[in-house]
Amino acid sequence: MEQTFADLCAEARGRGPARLAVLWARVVQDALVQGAGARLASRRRAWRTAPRPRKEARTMSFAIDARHALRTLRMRPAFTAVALSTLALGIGSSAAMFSVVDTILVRSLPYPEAEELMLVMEAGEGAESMWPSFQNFVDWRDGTGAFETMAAFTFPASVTVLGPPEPSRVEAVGVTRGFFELLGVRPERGRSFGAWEHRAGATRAAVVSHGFWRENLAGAQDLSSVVLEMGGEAHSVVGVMPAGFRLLGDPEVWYALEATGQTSVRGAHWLRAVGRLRDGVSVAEADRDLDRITERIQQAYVGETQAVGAHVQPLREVVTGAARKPLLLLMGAALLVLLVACTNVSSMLLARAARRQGEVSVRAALGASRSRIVRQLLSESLVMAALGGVAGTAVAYAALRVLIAVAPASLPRLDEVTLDPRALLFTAAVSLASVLAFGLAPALWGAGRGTAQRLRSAGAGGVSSHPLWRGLVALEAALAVLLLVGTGLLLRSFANIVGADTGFAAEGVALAEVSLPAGRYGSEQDMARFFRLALAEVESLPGVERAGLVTWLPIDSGNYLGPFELEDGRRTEEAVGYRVASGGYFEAMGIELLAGRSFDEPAAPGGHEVVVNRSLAERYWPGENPLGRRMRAPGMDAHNDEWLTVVGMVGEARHWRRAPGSQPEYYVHYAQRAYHAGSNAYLVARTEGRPEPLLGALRSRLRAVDANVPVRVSTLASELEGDLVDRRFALLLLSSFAVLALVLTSVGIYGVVAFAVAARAREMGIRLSLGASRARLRIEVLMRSLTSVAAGLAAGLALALGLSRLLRGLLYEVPATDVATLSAAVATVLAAALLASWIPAERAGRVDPAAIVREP
Amino acid sequence: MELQILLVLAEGEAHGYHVIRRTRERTEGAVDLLPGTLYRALQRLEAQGWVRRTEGPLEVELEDPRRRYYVLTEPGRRVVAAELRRLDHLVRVGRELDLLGPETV
Repeated sequence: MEQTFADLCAEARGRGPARLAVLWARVVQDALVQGAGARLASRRRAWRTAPRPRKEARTMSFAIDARHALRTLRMRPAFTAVALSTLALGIGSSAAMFSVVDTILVRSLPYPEAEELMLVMEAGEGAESMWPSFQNFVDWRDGTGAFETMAAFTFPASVTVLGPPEPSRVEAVGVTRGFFELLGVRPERGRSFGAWEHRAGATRAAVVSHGFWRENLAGAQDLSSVVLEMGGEAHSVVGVMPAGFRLLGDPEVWYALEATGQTSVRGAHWLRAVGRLRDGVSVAEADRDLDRITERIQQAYVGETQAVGAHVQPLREVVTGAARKPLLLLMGAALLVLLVACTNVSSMLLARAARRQGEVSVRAALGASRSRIVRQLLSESLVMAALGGVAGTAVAYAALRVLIAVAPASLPRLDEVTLDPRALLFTAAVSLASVLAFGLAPALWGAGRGTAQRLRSAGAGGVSSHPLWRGLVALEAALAVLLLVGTGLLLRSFANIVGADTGFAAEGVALAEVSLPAGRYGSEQDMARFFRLALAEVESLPGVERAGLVTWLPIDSGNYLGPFELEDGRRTEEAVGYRVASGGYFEAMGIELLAGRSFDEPAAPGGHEVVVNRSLAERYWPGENPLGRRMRAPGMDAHNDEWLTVVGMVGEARHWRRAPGSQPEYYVHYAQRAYHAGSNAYLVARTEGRPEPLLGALRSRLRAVDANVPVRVSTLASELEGDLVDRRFALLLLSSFAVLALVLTSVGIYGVVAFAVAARAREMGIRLSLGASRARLRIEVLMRSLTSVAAGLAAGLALALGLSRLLRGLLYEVPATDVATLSAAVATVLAAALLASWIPAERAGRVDPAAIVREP
Repeated sequence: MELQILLVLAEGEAHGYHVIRRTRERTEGAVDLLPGTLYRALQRLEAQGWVRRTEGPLEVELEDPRRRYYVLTEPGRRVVAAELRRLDHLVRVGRELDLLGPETV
């Protein structure tokens, strides 16, 4: 048969694509009809008396069927509208979500042959992964047989660029030779670095991003004279990367790493290494290859590095890793909505089929051929499915635009998202399947007997007690409650995050981020002097209650300086948070002072004071007064040997993004470690009232202290908000899906109950005329519907509990089986079902017995 | 429709596509079979013993083993003849009753 079909196709193709399309449509129709007809063959033979009428000619009958189908749909606008919009919403939302997930998680990164790109890390003793050092990277690169090339690059670091138009802070990344070539991306202007520029002491060059070029360099056409002063050195700009180029960070400037001569030690974990696999080499082989090299390194450089092996991972996984779980969750939600939509459409079609069974049997009795009827029903289903598909595409497209517009910029690869035709096809196919299956139902039930009759009949149990209807209602209720539980849990989690007690005051704090350019501030005294002046300026600003300084906000974990010593000889290995601050910091930030005092201002130059937080005190001096204790904080510098005396203890300053539980931290005055503050620090100002109006004045005051120091002002509240944007977005999407599912479920339940009431109108009329009370009828209808819903809820809850594991990583201080959330979800679905069933139930009570009984 | 198929097969063994084309030619486009319908009809005819599946003429076998050829059986041949005779009789009756115009010869 396929061969014949192929021949027909070849013939049609020769006559043009339209003929081919028509042929396809007719063949599909024919195949389905014949298939359906074959099932009926045995039944037909049973009651066939007259000879079968001859097959009518079928020239272009498909178009006629289609037109007739459209007319039929138009005759029932309410049904058509609801069915089509349900289909459109289901298809559209799933296709949009699927496209997003596919682009971000599945599709290759936008580099040539991106599947070959790997991220390489050092593997430590305990199988933990660490960022590689320069020396280890070089040995890998030079010794490997598994990778075509390798390159390394730094984490983006904020550097000051003294250049047009004024000093600004940009993110800069240092790269080793061959970095851009490895990725396969060429600058859109100029060139990337040459090998000579990757040597220590070479003249400095920089490659800039498209955004930087457009904004800071005003789109200069001629780059030959553009020079950026960075890190005290003049860098000539040699190239501009195309817009959208990024890798694990969005820097504006790239420079040649080797030229700086700062390659640190073998044990330092500060680079990121990528490699392009040779053809035919697997990830595992590359892993082993680098493991071997690392072993040799271990033996040759004993004690210099903690790496005992290497860990090779596809780059795509690293880029998209963090977004993976939430995206998959959202995809699951979208599929649930699709399922609910299909269930709705199916039940609507079933109801219509049951209603039309009478019409079908009459037509069959009048001699319409079975296949004709089947063909007509099929055409109706196909037309509905086609219209639904078109509407769905429109919805998908619109939904995607909205999604992209609303999505936070931190979503990886967001700019690559487009509507995926496969997504559309998949979701359309699912809907098509359900439409076809249930649209053909009347034909498949035979003429006027069997299932259809049972579905309609006013038997003792009535139509709504037929398992099929109850099953559909239960299914929808289950899906809806599942989605609501998930959404509810995440909402609670979010509320916990937002409302969490952080130990510092998030409102009413203005921030000014400064960084002292290395070229102008050579000594610690210079830096300390700047900060003294700056703090004085800020404190004297009207509207500022208290000013302070800190290197890292409580949002971050602070610098970890490694082990520190206590005076009784104890040495701790654990990493402890360390910050450089000023005396006024704690008050400005609203951190509670629990014992002792803060730093003296101005700090005595020789003073060695430290302020610890409660966790640290409890960890290392449990049950004792920490004041007066001494500790030594190694800083890899001249301050290694100085003993610091604890002068005060403050409360915890926590943030949800950091590890849960308490963290020991200590603070050192900036006069003692000025260079830490010099590289990056925040001036913190507590304001009376809202901080926003003061930001401008804050900025100009600080610029007045030194115009060469870039200043970035913001409020603490907005910095905190940045973290929440991602979660908020995901929650927004999830809630939309949940609401959609709830609405669709309600519509579905309404439809089923209304149908049941209409079909049993006769029975109710009889009962009413026999004296049954209206209220009783209404309650009966309600109870019928609610029992199915209850069954669905039970199933849905069981499913929710079973799947709770999936949510675990995303919840903050909310158990996955939180009773309050579960009850709220159940109550919501129950309420919606009640509402949806109420209206038809009311109508049941208002049936006019006389009119009904009179009907034939 | 089945008669048309039998008539084509009476010309000699044929495969599906050939039957479709030939009936189209013969009936001047009035009967345009699709694969689904055709093969169901062939199955019915086979079940009644009027048509048999064959391997196809030897020369063609090598180039396309997927093609299935159908051939009229002896009983099938007789059924076609009987049916045509019946129709012929009806045509004559029609002519007597002046139902058929001058174009039918």
